[in-house]
Amino acid sequence: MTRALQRLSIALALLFIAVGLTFGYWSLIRRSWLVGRDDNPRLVLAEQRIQRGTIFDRNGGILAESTRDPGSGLYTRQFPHPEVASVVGYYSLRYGVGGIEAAFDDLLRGNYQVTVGERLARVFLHKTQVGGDIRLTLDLSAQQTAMALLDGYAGAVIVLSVPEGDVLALVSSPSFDPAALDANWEDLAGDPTAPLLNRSTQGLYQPGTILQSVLLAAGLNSACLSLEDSISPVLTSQVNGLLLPCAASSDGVETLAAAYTAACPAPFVEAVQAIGELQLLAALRDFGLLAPPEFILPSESSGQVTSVPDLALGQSDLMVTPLQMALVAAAFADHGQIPPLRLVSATRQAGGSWETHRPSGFPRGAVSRAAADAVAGLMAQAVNNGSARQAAIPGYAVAGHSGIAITGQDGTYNGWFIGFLRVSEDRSIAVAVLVENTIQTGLAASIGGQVLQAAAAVYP
Amino acid sequence: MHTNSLVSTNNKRERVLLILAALFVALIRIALTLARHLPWYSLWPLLVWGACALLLHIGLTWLLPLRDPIILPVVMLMAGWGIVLTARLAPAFSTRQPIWLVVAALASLAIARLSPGLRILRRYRYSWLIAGIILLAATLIFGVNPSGGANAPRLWLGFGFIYFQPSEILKLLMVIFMASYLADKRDILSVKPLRVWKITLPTPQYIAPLLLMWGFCMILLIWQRDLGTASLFFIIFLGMLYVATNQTGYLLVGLVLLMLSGLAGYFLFDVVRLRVDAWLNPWPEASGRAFQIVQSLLAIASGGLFGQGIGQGSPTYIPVVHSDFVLAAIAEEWGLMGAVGVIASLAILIFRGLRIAAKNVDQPFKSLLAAGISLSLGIQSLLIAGGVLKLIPLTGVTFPFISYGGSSLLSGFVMIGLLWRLSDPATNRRIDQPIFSEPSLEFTP
Repeated sequence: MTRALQRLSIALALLFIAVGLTFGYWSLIRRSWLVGRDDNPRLVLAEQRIQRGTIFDRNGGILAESTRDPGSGLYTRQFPHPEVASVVGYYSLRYGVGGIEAAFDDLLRGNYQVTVGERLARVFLHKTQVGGDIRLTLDLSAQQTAMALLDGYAGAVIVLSVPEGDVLALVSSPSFDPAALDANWEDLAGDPTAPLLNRSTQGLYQPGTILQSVLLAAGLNSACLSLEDSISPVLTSQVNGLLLPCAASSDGVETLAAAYTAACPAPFVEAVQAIGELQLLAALRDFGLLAPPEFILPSESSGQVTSVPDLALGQSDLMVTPLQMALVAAAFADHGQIPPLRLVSATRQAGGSWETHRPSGFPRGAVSRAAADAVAGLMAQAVNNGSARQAAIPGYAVAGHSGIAITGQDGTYNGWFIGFLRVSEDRSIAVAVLVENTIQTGLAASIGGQVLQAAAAVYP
Repeated sequence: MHTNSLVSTNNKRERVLLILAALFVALIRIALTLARHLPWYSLWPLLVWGACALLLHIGLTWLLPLRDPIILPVVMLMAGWGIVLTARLAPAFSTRQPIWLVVAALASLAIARLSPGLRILRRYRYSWLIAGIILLAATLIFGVNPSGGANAPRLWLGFGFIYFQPSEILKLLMVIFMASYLADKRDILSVKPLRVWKITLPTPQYIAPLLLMWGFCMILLIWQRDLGTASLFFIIFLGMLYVATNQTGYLLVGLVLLMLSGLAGYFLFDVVRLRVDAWLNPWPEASGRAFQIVQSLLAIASGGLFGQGIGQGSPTYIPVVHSDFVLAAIAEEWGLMGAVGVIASLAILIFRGLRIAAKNVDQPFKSLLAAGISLSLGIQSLLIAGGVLKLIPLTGVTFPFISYGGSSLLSGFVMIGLLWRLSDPATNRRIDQPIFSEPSLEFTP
């Protein structure tokens, strides 16, 4: 019996050791694999324990913040202004992050370099991980005005301050409510109007006659064109059997300058031939239309252009985003200089002080000052009595140009407007407006003018 | 060594270890109060625990001065941990568990008062076992499940607000019965008339009564679908048979039988198939049928080496964590260190029990009883630990002294009371004997 007891003891001891080793196997060796599993409910819980940072607009208005439930101690994300969704984006435990919430996720979560003491306190004392805050260049009231003006339309509006390049408003419509994202995700993702797409930065559109400013500036810059060039009497064009009309009355249009202010397409076909391919492509590159701009939010570009002659009507393989066109508008506002973009004006780590962010990149010369100013002068005329007269604001010096583009095969039209408003001698506000599926040439210009007026009120 | 000094060393050892256990239990209970922002009056179970520890220490010092001094501190450590865990994992039950501890402590003291020969257990072994079987059979008719649930097994008997699980007591009575039976018949059972190839098998007629009693228990348990307890009974039965006869043949036959019944169970019972499938590969069904075991492993992994801290992990994601999965909860909040600590505590207890068995080899009944109790506690904890760790399929038995459950705590303390009784062979102090005429303490090494 003693021998059996001894053997039994050894067997039990081995089994207990096996159990101890298996505990070690799961809790040490397989730990990271298990803890990182998608179905680990602790991941969501750990995320909800983070006091995520606040996103402010340029005046300190709260655009997104995390509030603590006193009972559970967990944080939930609040989005008091759904109008800023195109910029702020979303934060969802199920669908991840988008917009600024994604671009600055590490800062907002507090994932930056912390002291050893802080890290130990987080791991061993479950100290709440507090994230950093972000101040945007966005102006909430300008954003809300732009959003309200686009209500009912699909389109985009971007407002930039010149020469700083601060994004005052960036709107994509239709949009979504980030606070109700989890509940509506299926509908949003399946919606044919694509509310989750940021049309401002990622929507690629045919420029149509809005490209005329770039073409004209390129021609003036290289002295291949002159404003007094006379033109042939045919003013409108046909694209795939669809009419591409002038944006304003074509009465008395006899020079290239007049064709530009009325945004008539046909005269530019001849003009582009005069400029020449290489200079045209160089101009497109200099205006930043061949590459996505340096920007915090994901941005698109159609890339290289192969069918240069078709550029005259803006109906080629060159596609542009509203953001790119806003930079074109800014170039004319700033005498040929494209400002670098800035969306985040400052950030601060938890408990730290605000650190100002510089714009991404440097001002770039797009075109000579003389050529830019000449086109800008015509833009002022276009607002006075040309293609963009709906953008006029009493008491303000608004310049602009509106155009029309035919989209794809289905024969619908998009309306464009680019323009700027001089706030003072050396400061302006630039805007680009795109409205999908409209033949009304004045709609985009009208929205652009009202947005400029709203922005001028907050950006004196 | 002189008897008196041995007694005082013994008591001092127990006292010092008990104070260490008390410090640990108080520390984790106060930490839980702070971490979960509980009111201070919720610390009252600590006082109950302390009173039980004091009562048992004083009572045992008087009743059994030569008892094993390690067992009480280890058991109280685990019982205290269990009370803290019940408050942590199932606050609704946090009042019941300390009350059950008082009942269990008193029961263990009553057992410790039995005569050294434990004649009352041996003489009426069939009556005891039959009484246990009748109780178990009663659950077939009157059985309830306190947690409710339409398809939940009804393993409990309800008396007002008290629920009792007869299989816990039957397990103890089985061990007593087998110790007594095997002590009488072990010489006969050890004869080797049947030889199949190189393996010796026992004579059928001698093993028949034992197989009959065991089979009766098994049928009842399977009828109840309490398969964890059924497999526990079978392994205890095999182990005790092996200790009594020293015949590996029994073990081999038994293990083959276990495999066969496992296979049969796999095809006969949905619950067995589910658990075996979830054990073999839980990952594809992590959100469905294997939810419990995957959540258990996630809890263990999230504990790491040092744990998340008391009250600061999320073990309650595991369904019924407070009874079957306390080990996973300990691993999450106390880490690998806590889990190994619990396993080591239980291992210490079992090896003390086996040591008592080894010291009593000249009295087969006592030796077999101590071995059977140790085996019962050891196999039960290995079954549930292996299940929680995905080493073996889940069996749904409780972890002794730590899992929530009054019947389990009570039967555990009765077993411990028997171990105390067996570890002090000489002292015989009955309540009907006047204190002043106490018999001399004769110590036989």
